[in-house]
Amino acid sequence: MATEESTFQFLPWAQSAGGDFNAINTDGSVRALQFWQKLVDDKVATPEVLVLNQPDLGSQFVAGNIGMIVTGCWELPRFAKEVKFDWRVALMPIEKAGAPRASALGELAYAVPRTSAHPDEAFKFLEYIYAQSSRDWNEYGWLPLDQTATPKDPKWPEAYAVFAEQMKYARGRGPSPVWPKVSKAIQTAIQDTLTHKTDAKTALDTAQSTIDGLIK
Amino acid sequence: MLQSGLVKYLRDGKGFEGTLIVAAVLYLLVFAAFPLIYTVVMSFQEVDMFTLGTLVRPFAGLTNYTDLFHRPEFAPIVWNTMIFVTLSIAFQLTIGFALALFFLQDFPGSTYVRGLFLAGWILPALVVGAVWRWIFAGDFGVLNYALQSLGLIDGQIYWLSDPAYALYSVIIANIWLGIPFNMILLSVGLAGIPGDVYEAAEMDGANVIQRFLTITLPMMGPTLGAVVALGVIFTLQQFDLVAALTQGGPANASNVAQYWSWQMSFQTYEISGGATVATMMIALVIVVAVIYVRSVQREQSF
Repeated sequence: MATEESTFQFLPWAQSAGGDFNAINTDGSVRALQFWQKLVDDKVATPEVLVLNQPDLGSQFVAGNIGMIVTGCWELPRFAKEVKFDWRVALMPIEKAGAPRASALGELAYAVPRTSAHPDEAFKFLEYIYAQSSRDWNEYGWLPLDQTATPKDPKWPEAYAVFAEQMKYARGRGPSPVWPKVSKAIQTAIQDTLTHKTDAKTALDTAQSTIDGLIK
Repeated sequence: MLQSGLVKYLRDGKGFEGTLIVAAVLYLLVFAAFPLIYTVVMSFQEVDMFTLGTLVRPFAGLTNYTDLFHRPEFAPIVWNTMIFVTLSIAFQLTIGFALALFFLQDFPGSTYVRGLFLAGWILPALVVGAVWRWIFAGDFGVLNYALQSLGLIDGQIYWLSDPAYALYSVIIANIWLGIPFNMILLSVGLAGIPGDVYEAAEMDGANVIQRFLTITLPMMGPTLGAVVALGVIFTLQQFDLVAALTQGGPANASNVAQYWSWQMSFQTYEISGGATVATMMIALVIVVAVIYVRSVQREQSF
């Protein structure tokens, strides 16, 4: 759907093919978006991806209506409890052998306002958050970015191994102070392409010129 | 002595009326006038995340407006909003009117069933949206299942994710949501038409259609005007259904002004852009509100 989620989902595909948020109209990005378009056109993926969000599509997987889903480890606690069939976790696919792997990261940017009266306390709070990183996986199904904060006895060990491997290729989005607008340009390109309003190349060229105007 | 005098003044004297007026005016000032004026002011300023906390911001003149008109999504969204409002009201009004006339007939249980219709209207629009989302779901929705079982369609219709249908799906849900309200208001109007007028017409040999066209419609005029005006205001406020059903997607196919305003303000933080859309909607609603007030005044003069 046209939210940050679609940018989050698309960037790894573009990055793996040689693009990125500031080079979104490269040949690789266009091929990645064309691939998505083909998935929907061929009914491999339901057109409902245009309006459903990640948890909705996760529920379709739990219900056995979807055979494969690209989502994050935060769905593991629910899937482990509710999925009634045999299922596994795999690395994100790459375009061809030797292509770089990629994955997306989120919720990494913290801001302490310049006018804050308690900046030191804010930093102490951040330190506390990161000191708790080793609890992320077992309690919330989140993978800590801090490589030293590995959980002692990870739940779902097979899945953990895959996600830990995938994490090596993960990149944050941006960061950019105008990120919501950058992201919106990418979302628009995805929606316009999947609905055949325009082709992938034109849509991503438009996104690129919007983004160029934003980040200069 | 003084204290009891004050209490007495506030409870019985002119002070009581004054307190009521002050309370009402204060409420309007804080919760209606301030946000309204603030929105209009923001539409002429440069507002971003960092100037949110202050009131004094760079004056932007009309740039927010010209910027808005030049956006590629402006024309489609205005068009969508017009379709949304027109179709919603046309169907809410005709179906609501038909139901109001139907329940005016004296048959067992008519008043109870009419009351039950309100159940749909008191549901929060978000809940209604969630239910309609299941009905409209492309792959596993009830509507597609029903249509396929009846042999009316072959493949699935992607009600919410096909750009050709998305807006109309939201409109259908909105019509459903608005019918009970229209019906109740129109029922009240119908009940106000004196029965002897119909009796006299019947004696003069006027048939049902003549009675409807020459008595019911003209006497319902002010009520209909009021209902249409309220309908325009409510439809322009209809945010929850869009949020629950399509979020304006796919590719803005079902995006309407009120949702666009929210998207700009709270998703991409183009707060002045959102305020600009809201200001233009305020202007439209004021026009409609004037029509509504005049319609109500005419109704009272009967």
